[in-house]
Amino acid sequence: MPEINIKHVVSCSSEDRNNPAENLLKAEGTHKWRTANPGEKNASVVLQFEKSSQIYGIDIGNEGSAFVEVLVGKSTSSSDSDFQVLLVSSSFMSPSDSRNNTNRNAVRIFGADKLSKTVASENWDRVKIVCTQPFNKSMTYGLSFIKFHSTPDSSKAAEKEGMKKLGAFFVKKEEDEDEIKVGTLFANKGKTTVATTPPPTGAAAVRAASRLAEEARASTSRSSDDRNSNSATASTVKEPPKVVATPKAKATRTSPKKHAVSDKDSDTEEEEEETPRRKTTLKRQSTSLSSVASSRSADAPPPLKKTKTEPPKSSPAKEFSRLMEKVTFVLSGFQNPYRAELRDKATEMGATYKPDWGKGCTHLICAFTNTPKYNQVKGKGKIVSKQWINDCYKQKKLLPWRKYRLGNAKSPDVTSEEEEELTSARNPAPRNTPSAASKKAATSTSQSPAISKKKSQESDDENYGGNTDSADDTDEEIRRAQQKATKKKKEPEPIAEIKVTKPDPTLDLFADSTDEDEGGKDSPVAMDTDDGADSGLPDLPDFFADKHFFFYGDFPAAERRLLTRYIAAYDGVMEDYMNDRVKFVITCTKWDDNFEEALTENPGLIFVKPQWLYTCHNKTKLVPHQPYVVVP
Amino acid sequence: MSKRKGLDPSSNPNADFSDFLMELATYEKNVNRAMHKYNAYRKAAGIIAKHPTQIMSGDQAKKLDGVGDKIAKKIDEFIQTGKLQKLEKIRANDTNVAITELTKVTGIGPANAQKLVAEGITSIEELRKHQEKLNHHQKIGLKHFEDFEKRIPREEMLKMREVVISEIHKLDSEYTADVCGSFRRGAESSGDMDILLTHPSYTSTTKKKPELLQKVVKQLESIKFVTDTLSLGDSKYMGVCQLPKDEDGTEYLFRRLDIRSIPYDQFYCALLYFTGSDMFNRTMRTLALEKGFTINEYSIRPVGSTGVPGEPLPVTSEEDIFDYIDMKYKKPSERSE
Repeated sequence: MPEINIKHVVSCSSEDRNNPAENLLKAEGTHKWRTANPGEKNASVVLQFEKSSQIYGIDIGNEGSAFVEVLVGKSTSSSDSDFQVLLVSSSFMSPSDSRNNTNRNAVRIFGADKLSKTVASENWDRVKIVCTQPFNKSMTYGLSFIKFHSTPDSSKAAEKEGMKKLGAFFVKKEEDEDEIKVGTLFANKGKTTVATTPPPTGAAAVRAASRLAEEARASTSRSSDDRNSNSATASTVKEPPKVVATPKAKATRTSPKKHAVSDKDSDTEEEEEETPRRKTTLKRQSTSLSSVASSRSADAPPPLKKTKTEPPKSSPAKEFSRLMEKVTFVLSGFQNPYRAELRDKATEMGATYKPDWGKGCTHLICAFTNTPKYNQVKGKGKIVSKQWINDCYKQKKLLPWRKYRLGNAKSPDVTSEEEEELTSARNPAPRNTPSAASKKAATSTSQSPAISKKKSQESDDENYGGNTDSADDTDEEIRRAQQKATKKKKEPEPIAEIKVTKPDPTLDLFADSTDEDEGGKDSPVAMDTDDGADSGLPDLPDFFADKHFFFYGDFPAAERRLLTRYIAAYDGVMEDYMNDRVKFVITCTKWDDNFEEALTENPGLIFVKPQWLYTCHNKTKLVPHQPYVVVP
Repeated sequence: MSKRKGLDPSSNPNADFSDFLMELATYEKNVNRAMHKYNAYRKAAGIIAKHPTQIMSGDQAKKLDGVGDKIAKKIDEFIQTGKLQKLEKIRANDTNVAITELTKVTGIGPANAQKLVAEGITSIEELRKHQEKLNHHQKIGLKHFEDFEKRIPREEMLKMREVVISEIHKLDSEYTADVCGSFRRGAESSGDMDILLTHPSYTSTTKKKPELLQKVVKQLESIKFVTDTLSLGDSKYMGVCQLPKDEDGTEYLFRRLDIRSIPYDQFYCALLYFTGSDMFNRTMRTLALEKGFTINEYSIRPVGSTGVPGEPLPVTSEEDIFDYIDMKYKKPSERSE
């Protein structure tokens, strides 16, 4: 659980000159915050996070307070009363401790179970800590330290949220992130079965790509101010990296916080610093990236993976059944029979249905705003109306979800597949650029450089020709491209390419970055699943499929994380809270009464030691859990 | 709440006043179901009963906390005429009398009594003829009606306590059990016996342990102390008990017995609550709120800056609770107001 960084102290009720509230920002334990005078009724301090985060745990080191309460709020809210209680007033010193001034520096660690569930499920960027010491009016009191933890996942999200605003774009969370993380862990397992390509190629490609992507983004955002710069932008993107002003790109970027995360095999320091940012860039700028791919193809032999073609894609029937392959959706607010109808339509198009929002879910199909699921998902996933499914189904293609967005809920960062839509939605002018680029990318991935050039010329024609007007949208363009392609019956492939694999270059690049993480392992096998969200990853067995897990008791953070990864990797589902679906309770503790209670509520529960998961992982198969069961 | 909740009818100079106030209180509760009036009368009755000297006038009574204009007037009326017209009217009304009568049976509340009266049952005798209208609890209540009406002398309470506690400890010495209610406050007589039971293995974070209570009840049944069960849940037993015949041949009456199984960590808050008196509890809770704490029968919690109660504070004795709210510890015998 990474720590949430605190940016500054917003205010405090009072502070000792030698122990100011600022001390809470310093390293743990060495500095304290105390009230200015003894006997103050309460002492409060308001802290500002660097970015809005979900809070999963709080560590508090006391300095003479009897009770400490933690409230959360948002810097955007105007009134102080908008703070909500995250951690109820909790005891740190008993009355006698307080009177005798003993046990002043207790440390308590509050996990997710101690925090208000409804409040903890939201993102906050401000905390207010209220300390009281009613038992001893003659001493000053405060805190020695306070730390807030986010989960690994939300920290990823947070990383991206740091770049929430990039130029004219908003960035939202990347669902694919999880899979990639898992991949980094498990890639070695599959290594034997996967043919490898020269590692540097992929990594280098990504690096080059990211730079260009950045530049492209700069140009895109620039052009967002200038609706008529369409063609200019297009040409910018086509230009080789040197031509584009990199500083500009940097200037337009809102500076994110320095991330500790870095890719292991980055060649230079500079690279290393840029890595996290680049990653985001990759996600955001899929289309620009693809342009990189094409420009690369001109001056260097394209990376192996890029040459991978996808012939089966051209079959329209299959296409339809794979339209929504990357969509994992949850329904909210629909009643049968309509619910079933929607679900069937979506699954027919290849989408995966989940009854409840969880890891890996991408879309919430929602009947109306403010359903419980809506509130759960807002800010985390794409929320769309049923019309999206219906229209996709009718038109037999994956339509941009943005148009079907439901409510004003903040969506997480735009995933690759939506990039164009986003762009077109926000500013039609630059939109053509990426889509053109994407076409190029598509062609370049599937065809020889010669054809690729030809194709890109085509798309350029489009851009320069009728398309300077920003009114038409991506789909239209695609259709046009399609028509063109159909006219030239001799090369039917591009149709499919354009239609279906549009988002894929991003994914490939994604995969690249992952590969880079783990040491430049490129696997063509992975790359050929163009539509698969886990492209670039070794195929993992899914022997935990439909199994729900729940952690009970304390685990070291590292172990917990590892176990979570194993579960996710083998398609298991982690439950944050005990519920009916939980089948396996992973615990290090001995049998206790809680187990019995849990059993009465859910007789099917199995309490098992974490060793089981390790063994399953080591053998890459489901081993019998019985030997690892915790018994009374 | 015990049906027999009442004032100790020990001799006091103002017994007449407190009696008629209690009668009014009961009337308000049972017939009009006006709990607030009931509480107001009861509070006044309690204050007046405690007054060391005889009250000579309504004005004098009015100076006491809890006695207002109306009650003062009633006291004046009583002093002057020796009776109270409102009370006479109430007594003259058959329905009122019948309802009051029927509610004396354990298991029959005001609503049930009103229904029975509406069906034409206006006395205990008639009720005995129509037992099919009663549930198990009420039948037992009716069966022992006369016994339950009688208060339990402290002497007998001590003997009962001896029996229960020793049996409980025979089962498991880790049990903690205490008789609470007015008995714990030192009352000379009690309406029933209320026992709190806990065991270290049962806390608020573990699951319920019905067996803790059931074992005790079984044990008490096996020695024929418990004679009937009105109800037995996971955490509360209500029943009837009777002491064995004395050597000199004295027979004991059937008595009401309640046993509550309390999570270990909540035991002292429960003990405080069930020891009462309810007036004392109210006072103490008000004080606690002023100090920034909230007390209920389960826990004491600090109140946060926005009014959200905090986590339950560790309590290892009743003194701890007083300590938290900076209140001088009061022995049970000092908690009668």
